[in-house]
Amino acid sequence: MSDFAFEFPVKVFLQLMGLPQSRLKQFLAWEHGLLHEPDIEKIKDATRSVVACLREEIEDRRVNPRDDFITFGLQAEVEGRKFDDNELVGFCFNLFLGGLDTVSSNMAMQILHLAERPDHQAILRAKPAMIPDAIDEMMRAYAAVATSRECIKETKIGGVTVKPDDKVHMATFLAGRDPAAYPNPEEVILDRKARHVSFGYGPHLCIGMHLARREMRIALEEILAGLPEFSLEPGVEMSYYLAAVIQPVELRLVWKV
Amino acid sequence: MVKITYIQPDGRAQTFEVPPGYSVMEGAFRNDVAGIIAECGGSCACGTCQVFVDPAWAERAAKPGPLEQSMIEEADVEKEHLRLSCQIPVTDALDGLVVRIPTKQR
Repeated sequence: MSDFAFEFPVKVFLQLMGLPQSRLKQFLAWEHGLLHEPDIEKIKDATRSVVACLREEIEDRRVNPRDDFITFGLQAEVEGRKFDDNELVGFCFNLFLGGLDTVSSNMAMQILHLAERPDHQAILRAKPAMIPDAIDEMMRAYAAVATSRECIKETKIGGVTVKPDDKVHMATFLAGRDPAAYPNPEEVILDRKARHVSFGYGPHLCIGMHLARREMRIALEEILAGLPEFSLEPGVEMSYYLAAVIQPVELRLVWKV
Repeated sequence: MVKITYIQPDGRAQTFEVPPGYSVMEGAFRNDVAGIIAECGGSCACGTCQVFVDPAWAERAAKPGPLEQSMIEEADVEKEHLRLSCQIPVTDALDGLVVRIPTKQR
């Protein structure tokens, strides 16, 4: 995880934001502080650090525009007006938080599946064009990210009344294994080409979906092209962080050199 | 009502009367036209309601905005005459519109 899955999306984020790759360690530490620290003070510290850094970068781009996401955000107009500073910070922060752990976790679940299925590795090595469909099938079977909403209007679903202010946590990983929606839901069929809700559905569909799909595709293409057949290190037991994101703590792979 | 014909990749055609004010995507969605997925419900965010629009018709339809253009650039299919059907409002000028549905949306 620390050798690849955590770093890769952060590197992409740094490049999008026009930040130097030399800040990788710093951002990884902040990400860890935000998402994997049980201590609320540490979470607050990491949050403040990221926001302070983004504010500084936004100020810089105001004076020194460049070809990056922050500059784009400064110049963009939505419904006839520009973003104010808080909106822009929120936008960049959302991209930071939304696009890191989630991508790392989905990639890890996909690599884990392939480590346990050398036959699937062989298929995708022989036909890399199948990788995008395979990723969506693995996202269905191993959805890593659950999504939450707050109810604003009393609604009845399946005999249950959801009241305003109720929090609803939607378990995408259960939806993806729904036998009513998918025959043999436990089975990963690389070319199943079924729809899934692992990116959500509707107007609030994951806005980073296209970037995420691209990152996952490039990751799998490169891993399969660059590594010989890999598997899990024998005797290692998997453990996971379980919160809004299901994430392997470690993913120890071995391969013959 | 505005007549719109949706043609599947295999040539099968379905024609529906769609009320003005709907989008071409909604016209397909409400009539269960296969191949129009529209995951984001018409927010120009998912790129899964792609259709091909012949140039003669495209001239009469609303032009693609910058967001739609960038979505089309990312599409994984032939891009000529490609539009996102959620970004084409149905108007009386489009009566008789024919759109073709690509073999895949992603």
